[in-house]
Order: sequence, then structure tokens, then C-alpha cells
Amino acid sequence: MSSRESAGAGRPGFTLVETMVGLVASVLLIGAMAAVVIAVSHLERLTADRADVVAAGALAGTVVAQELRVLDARSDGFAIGRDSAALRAFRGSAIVCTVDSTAAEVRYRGLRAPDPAKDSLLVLAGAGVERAQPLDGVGVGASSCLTRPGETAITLKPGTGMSAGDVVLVFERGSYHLISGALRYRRGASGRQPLTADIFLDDSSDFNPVIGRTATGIAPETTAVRLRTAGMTRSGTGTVRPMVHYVPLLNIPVPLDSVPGS
Amino acid sequence: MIAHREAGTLTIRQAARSGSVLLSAIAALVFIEIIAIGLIALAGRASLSTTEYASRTTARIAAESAVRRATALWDERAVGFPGTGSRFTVPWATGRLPDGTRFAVTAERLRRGQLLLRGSAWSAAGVSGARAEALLTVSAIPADAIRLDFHSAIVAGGDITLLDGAVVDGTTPDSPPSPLQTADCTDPGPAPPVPSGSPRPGLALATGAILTAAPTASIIGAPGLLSAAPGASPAAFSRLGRIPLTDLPAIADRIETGAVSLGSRTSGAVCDTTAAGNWGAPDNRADPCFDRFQLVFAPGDLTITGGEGQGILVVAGNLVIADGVRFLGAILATGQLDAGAARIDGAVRVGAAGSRIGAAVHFDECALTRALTLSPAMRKVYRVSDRWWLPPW
Repeated sequence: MSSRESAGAGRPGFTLVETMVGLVASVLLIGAMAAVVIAVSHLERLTADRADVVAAGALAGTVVAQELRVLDARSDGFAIGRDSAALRAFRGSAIVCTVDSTAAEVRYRGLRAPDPAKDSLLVLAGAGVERAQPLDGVGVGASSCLTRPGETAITLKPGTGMSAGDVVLVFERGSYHLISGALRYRRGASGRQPLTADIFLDDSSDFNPVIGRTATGIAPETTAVRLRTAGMTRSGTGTVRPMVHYVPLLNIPVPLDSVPGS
Repeated sequence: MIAHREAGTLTIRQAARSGSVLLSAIAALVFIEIIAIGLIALAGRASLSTTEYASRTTARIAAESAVRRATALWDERAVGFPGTGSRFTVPWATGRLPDGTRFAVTAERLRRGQLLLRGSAWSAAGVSGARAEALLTVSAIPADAIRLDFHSAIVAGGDITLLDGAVVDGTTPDSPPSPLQTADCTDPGPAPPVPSGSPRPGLALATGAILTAAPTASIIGAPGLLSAAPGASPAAFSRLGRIPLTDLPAIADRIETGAVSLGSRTSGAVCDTTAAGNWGAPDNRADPCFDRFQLVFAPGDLTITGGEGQGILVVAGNLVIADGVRFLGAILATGQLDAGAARIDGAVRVGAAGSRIGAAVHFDECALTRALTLSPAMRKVYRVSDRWWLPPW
């Protein structure tokens, strides 16, 4: 074994300078990577939070639009507060086939089956007359009531005051609330059930009636409802710009639509 | 050999160090890649949420618009006067939008006159698309209710003055006014207006209304003058039958304002229905506009300066009819009527006190029937009440 060979085999490693340079370079590299990873993770959380807020806002907008759009603001117990909207929540509709002294045979379709414990009826007779009445009972309908796709034949009690061809709306009393960070629904006097994630800022989320004059000579009234939802990220590092939904009411006395040139 | 071994040792050490850094870098890149994929997925989720919201909104508006289109272009004759219980697709409210959204409207006759329109729309945007429905109830225009309001030659809601030469005749002639023939008076639809029957008053006044008549004015009927008449209260003049006047701008065949001179206008052998002042040709069977009737609505005061016309005239204001004007059909004026030496076959309703009439007004069943059945507007639909949009279940 030559002297050169033994010197090379006995070399312990890098010099101190090499080691220090290596360590510093490694620390810098790892630090930079860690910063990137932390930044990207933060961005991911922020994006996820914002996506949740957007999804919750869209869901709230859809629910409120579906519920409010067909209401008659003058006769559906309609009351808009800053954080709540009380209303008749329609859950189904029926067409009267026949009526006897105790019940009306109807073709029904709706979100759920009518429930006497929850629901009331709004009978729309011909010539624009409408009348609310309690729902006392629901039964299986007769086959004589010819149903269409999506409809079920049932009986509604009582059938007093109804006649063939009447439209009957099934509704429950309810209210929507923007409190405790979520859109919530309350049926009657029961508790408020959340419909969205608890993500909204109470101070920046609200209902607002839009008051307008629909035609000359008609007193101003509610023509639309504005729903504003603003959310906060879970990390608490930022808010999401408010989403604003306008829900124009359909049943207001505006002039009928016409088609130019028809 | 030694140098080679030394060089070999050095090469092995460098390879080991380079490998650890490379592995670290790859691990970091993989981690960042995973995060980036997550970010893309989240952005996609947010985008999808927005797209689906837009898709649902598009479908909802398309369904509502389809129903609006169905009502705006409704024509009872085009759908064949369907009977109770019948159900059919409305062809002019079924189709596809440029973005691929499909829409359709089906109609169901719930009872005589009343229709239930169900609009459906499918938007293809989003992962699974979106579907929405809209439900609307409307009623065919009740010609019989309008007909019943015109139960006398003149129904007045307030004080009225008959000038020299005025004739108010509630008796039905044995034959329709020339050049009409009995065959012209039949109704093509399944629900003819209900005749008011006989005997019929000449002039029907609201409770408390006062008549002032010149010596040469004549009132004929059974009775000639009827006080406290039905359908003569102030509220009765805010509607045409059951249709609120506020809906008439959308229903009427023609809107007129200011002053108008009447006369038939033709384009070759075809009646020019768009020409100003063309309210048909009641006195000329050979004229292409002989069967041209329309519902004319004036949202304010109107003056007819001359000529002849026919149809249903509704004036939300005062109406002035000059000497020599000839009109066949029904006239409703919510304000005052100031009529010179004109001739009207049909019936007149005038709401406000202070009307002055020097015209000859002859009640005519045939003229009313033709006006109420041949005017295109009478084949449309109207909203029965303010609640006409229903929850779409």
C-alpha cells in the first residue's frame, strides 16, 4: 500500500468549510421549500373555504328563490326582517277531480306528501277567489282520478267548498333565518334547522325587501327580495366578498307580457 | 489503479450526495404537485358550484319565459278550443335556446275557460344539467261576461245629457244592420256570448245618475230608461268583463292615442292590418277588411275625427266621436263620452258623469257577437287574479 493510497483511505470526509456550506445550503433549500409548502397549504385552505362560502351562498340563493318567487306578498303572511323571512311555504299542489260531502279526490304532486299535523290548504277556485282552510286528513285516492306522470291520487279532507277543477295548494307556515352563521329554516314553532354550512357572517348577511311601484296608480309594494350572504374563511384570515341574490316576485300586479309585433 | 480507485471512491460519494438532494427535491415537487392538484380540484369545485347555480337559474328562467311566451301568443282557435280535461303541448312555446337549453309548455284545461300551463326547461350546463318547472294558471277571455255588461244600448255610470237628434235604441232589429246578413252573426267558437235577452233597456243609469234630454232626443227600449242598473257602479268600469284595464295593453290588438281618423286600408286584395286608423270596413262586404275586427285600447283620451270602423273600443279616459263617424261593435269609455251626430250599432258603456251624446246608438246583437268573437284579442288568455304563478310542483 503506497503512502498516497493510505492517505486517501484515511480521509475522514469533507472539510469544515465544505460541511458548513453544505449545511447552510441545505437549510436555505429546506426553508424555501417549507415556505412554499406552507404558502401553498394556506392557499389551499383559503381556496377551500372560499369554495365553501360560494357553494353555501349559491345554495341559499337557490332555496330562497325557489321559496319566495311564487309568493303573493300581500296574502302569504309575508314578512321580511333583516335576518328573517316569514312566509307560507308551499309543499305541493293538487287538482280537484271530484268532491263529496267528506273529502275531495285530487291529483297531487309535491315535495312531500300532505301532513295534517303540519299543513294547511289554500283553495284557488275559479274567478280568482282563494280561501285558506285546515287540512284534517289525507287518504288514498280513487282510481277514478286519472293521474298524470308525477302525480298521485289522494283524498284531502275536508272537501267542503271545493269543486272539480279547483287548484289546491298545500302549505306550512315557516320562516327562513340568517343567524348563527347559516341559512336556517324554521317550521311553525319548531327549532331552526341549518340548510347551509355555518359559514356566513351574521352582520353582513341579510334579507331586504325591494319596494317598488309596479304601475301608475298602484301603491308601492314589495316587488322583490334581496338576499345578501357574506362568508368568513374558517381560518379567520379573510372574508369572501358578499354574494347578492335578487328574487323578483312573480305574483305582483305588473302589466301582462306582450310580444311586440305578434 | 490507485487514482482510479480514488476517483471511483469520489464518484460513489458524489453520487450518494446528489441522490439525496434529488430525492428531497422530487419529494418536495411531488408534495407541491399534490397541493397544486388539490387547488385545481378546489377551483374546479368552486367553478362547478357556480356553473350549476347558473345552470339552475338558466333552466328556471327558461321555464318561466316559455310560459310567458305561451300566454302572450295564446290563441284559442289555434289550439282548437280544447275541452275540460284535455291536455296538449303548446307548439309556439316549445323549442331550444342557442345554448342548448330545451323548453316546452303543456296546457291543461281545468274547467271551462281556465287553463293550467306547465313550463319545463332543461339546461345542459354543469355536470348533470338542471331541470326547472314553472306553473301558471290563466283563463280564456270570457266573452259572455263582457257581453253581459253591454246589456243596454247605453250603460252610464254618471249623469248624461242627450242632445238634439240623439237616439238611444235598445230594441233588437229584425235583421242585422246593412250590409250584414244573418249568417255573419254566428259564432265560430264553442262558447258563444250569452245574449242579453229581451226586453232590453235603451239607457241604463247608475244609482243616482241624472238624465238630461233635449226635446228631440229619443230613448227606445223596454224600459226606455232603467235606473239603478246592474253593472253601472264605478268599479264596473275599471274592467272589460272580468279583465282589469291594466292588462289590456298586453291583450289589445291595437293601441291608439290622441286623434284618429278611421278607414279601411288594403294592400292589393289584402287587408292591411298594420295601417293606422284601419278598424275594418263595416259597410262594404267587398272590402278585404270587412271581417277585420280588433280590440282597440286607448290608455288616455281619444278623439275619432271621422270615418268608419268596427270592433271593441276601450278608452281609459274621455272619448270624443265627431259627426259622421260610423262604428259597429262595443265601446267602453271610463271617462266622458262626447259624441256628435255619429251612428253606433252595438252597445256603449260610459263611466264618468258629464257625457253629452248626439249620436244614434242602436243596440245590435249581431254587431256585438261579431266584435266579441272575431277580434283576435278575444282568443287570448288573461290572469284571473294576482296569484297566477303557482309553486311548480
